[in-house]
Amino acid sequence: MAVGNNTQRSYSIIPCFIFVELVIMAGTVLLAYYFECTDTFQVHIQGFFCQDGDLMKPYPGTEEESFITPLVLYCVLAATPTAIIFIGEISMYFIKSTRESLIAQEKTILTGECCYLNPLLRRIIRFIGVFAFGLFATDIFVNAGQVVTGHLTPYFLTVCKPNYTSTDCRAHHQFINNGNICTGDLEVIEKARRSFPSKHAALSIYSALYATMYITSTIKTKSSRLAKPVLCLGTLCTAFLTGLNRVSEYRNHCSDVIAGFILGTAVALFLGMCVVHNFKGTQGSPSKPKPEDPRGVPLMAFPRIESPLETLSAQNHSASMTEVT
Amino acid sequence: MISAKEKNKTPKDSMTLLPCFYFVELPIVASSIVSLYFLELTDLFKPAKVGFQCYDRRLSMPYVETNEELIPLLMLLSLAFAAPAASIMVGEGALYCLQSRLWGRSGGPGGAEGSINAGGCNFNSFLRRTVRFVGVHVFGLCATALVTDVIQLATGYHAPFFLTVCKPNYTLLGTSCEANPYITQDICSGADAHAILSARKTFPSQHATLSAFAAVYVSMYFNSVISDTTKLLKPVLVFAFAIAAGVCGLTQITQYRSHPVDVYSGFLIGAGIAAYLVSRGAGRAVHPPGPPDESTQGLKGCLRALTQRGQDSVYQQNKSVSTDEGPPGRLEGAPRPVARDKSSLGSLKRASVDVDLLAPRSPMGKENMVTFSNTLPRVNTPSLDDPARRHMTIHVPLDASRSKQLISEWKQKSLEGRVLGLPDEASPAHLRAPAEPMAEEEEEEDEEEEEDEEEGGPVPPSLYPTVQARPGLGPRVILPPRAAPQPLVHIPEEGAQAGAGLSPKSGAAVRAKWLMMAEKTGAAAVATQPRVANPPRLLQVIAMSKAPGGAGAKAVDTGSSSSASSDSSQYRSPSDRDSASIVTIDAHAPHH
Repeated sequence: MAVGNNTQRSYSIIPCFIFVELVIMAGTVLLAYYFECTDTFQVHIQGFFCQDGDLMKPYPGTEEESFITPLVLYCVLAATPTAIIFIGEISMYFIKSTRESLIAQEKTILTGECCYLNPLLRRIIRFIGVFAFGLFATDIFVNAGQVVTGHLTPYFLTVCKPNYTSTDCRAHHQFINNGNICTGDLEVIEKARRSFPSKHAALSIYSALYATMYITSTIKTKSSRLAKPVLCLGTLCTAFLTGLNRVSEYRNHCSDVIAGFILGTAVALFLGMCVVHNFKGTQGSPSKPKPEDPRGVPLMAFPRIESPLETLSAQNHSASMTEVT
Repeated sequence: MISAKEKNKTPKDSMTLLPCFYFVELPIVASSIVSLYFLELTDLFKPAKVGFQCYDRRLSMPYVETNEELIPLLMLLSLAFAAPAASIMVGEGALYCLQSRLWGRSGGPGGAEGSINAGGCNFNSFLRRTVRFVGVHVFGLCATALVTDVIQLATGYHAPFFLTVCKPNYTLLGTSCEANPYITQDICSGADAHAILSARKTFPSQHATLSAFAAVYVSMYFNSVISDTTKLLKPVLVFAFAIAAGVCGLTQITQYRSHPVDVYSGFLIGAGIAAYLVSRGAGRAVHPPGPPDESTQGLKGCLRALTQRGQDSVYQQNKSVSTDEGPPGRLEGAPRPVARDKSSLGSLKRASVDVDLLAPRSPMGKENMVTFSNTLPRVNTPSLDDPARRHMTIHVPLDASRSKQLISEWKQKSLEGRVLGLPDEASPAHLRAPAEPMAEEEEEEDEEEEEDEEEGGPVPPSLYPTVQARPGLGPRVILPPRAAPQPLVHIPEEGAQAGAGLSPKSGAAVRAKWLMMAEKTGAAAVATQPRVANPPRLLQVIAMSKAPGGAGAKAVDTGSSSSASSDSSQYRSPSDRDSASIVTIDAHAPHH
């Protein structure tokens, strides 16, 4: 499969994978599960102003009645980058020209006696694993922000139906701090307290940006100039429209969506640049020996110059070289 | 950060490490802490007075008492200090253990940095790195808090709970709120003056800046330290700190202590300061050990500049007369190598420019070192590869008087006949260089003749063509003769000290030394021969310099038209000195 000198024996990769990566991944998934599906973390009870016009938008119905239902959204944003990475890696592996550079970048790991981990497997697992981790991490970020701030959705007062009679709400600027004057459905109210930042926006922009970074840094085809931009801009525009749809359906404020965009972008950029290093191999590009500055050397080395003639000719030489180039 | 510059070295001595730490770093941190105390805990500085609108909704939020805060300021400070410091210490400890296990104690191929000896104490890399990173972190925290406080005082924006604690008495105003909704007078009737004061300081949020600084700093530390073999460890740590910082800032919003804008701008400020400190202040420090890159290039540049400056100081100390000559030469010389000239004379011109660059350094070498260099075994020369060592060498201060003493001793003992030539040798060449070029040339030629006569047989063949070529050349192309004296410039500092110790000895010892030196010079000169090693190149150089002839110098000088006279004087001076030293050494080797 691989070139002989490209095989590397490593006994630590499998234990490292099991005891570090998988544990971290499991912890992340567990935390996301607690945030999403249980009420371990109680949302902060935020107060509001009497008759606040910003919070009295009409109630658009439950999430399932939305234009983009959560199920569709989650499936699409998890499946799209995975499919793109799968197709890209496999095609890179089977196209001959790209395969050589791929093998040059990535070593085949030989663990134990039998198991070969070839570059294809390693890259797919790495990229998709990091993507999944980032997805859950973004979810945790979003949920933490929502729980901590307890920012109210635009339709909060509509579903809350506050009982103003108990408090004096004469003045316009009266701030109501106790949240238990609501008379509406408790479950809907609970949902209406989670708004900042927008989860849809953050997750969709994260997924789209990850896929975009993969496409731009991996696919280097000269034949088709439009395929790459169309693919990238298509995914990004879809994510953008998903965020805007939240605003137009009165499910989030504009600031929530923007914060979600920023959050998802930051996570995707960090993972793409600092963790998987722009989807290059672990070895990275071979470091080129840097030519030293011809001016710096003689100055530095002055006290030990044996023969200035030599340095002079060397300088002339390098100077003429630089002149030519 | 001097300490940051002195990395990637094998264990070595540093005189400046401790004083620099005590007298530079510590006062800076201490002064920032003191000013922070005045800004934060005393009301020496009043926030700016800003008006507000009647019944402003955004300023009417409820007031959360200071002791009911979710994250009080003290807890924030301790957390923002302790969590990154602890993680940096743990990380550095793990790194040190791993490195010492993998590569042995002495720092391996990728070893971060050697240990340093300063004032008898040995600071290993773990201690240094930890102190540096934690120190930069502490300083950054102080700086961030300072910046935040200053902006808060300067803007004086109101916190969301301002109207709650202020309880403005609107009847104090002459007009009604409808007529004049913007109030600039101080009409607060609230009892809690401290709360009102704190309500005037909100932009940007202190919590947000401090937590963002700590998170970004420690994230960048993790990002550079944790290797890539584990893909998920780094993001987990980074995300954990980021979430903590985000929560810390967001609680300020939910508790109505700050507006959202304050918190977001606070995040930006803190992150910006951290990014700046990491990339500039401790930049080389945080980046992991790796192959030398631009940072080390910059380090070399620093060292070079330092070396030059040190040399200049000694130079000016010794010869205050010559100061007017040195700096201008360097100033002119510096920008010119950058300008690439594609004319036919370009290479020649550049060569002369290089001479120009080198010229101001040579008086030192001749003045202080040539005398002592040969009194010592040359074992120490390899250590000169170390630029810092060379730097130390150049700094040796005591040589001037000693060298003169030795020169005079030696003069009186061994040179009776050559009264004519000697004063020129003893006196610094650059003193007379600007004086009268014509007479100098004559003297030069005289000396060369003597040289030719006295060298006779033992002249290494590599020297011959250069010497013969010289009379035909213009004054500027004289640098080939520097071949012989160049090895003499190899003076390690130990050499100079030992030479100073030697000087009170009797004349016999001195004479013996000089004899030895002469032999060695001959050997060295022979040794230089293979290094020249490229006769066509040599000839080409000479031919090139010959081709313009005597007028060539002027032609090139008109090329760089501005400073012809000073250039020519500078070009000549090294050659004068060198020829003088050639005469000295080679003439008196057979004398004894």
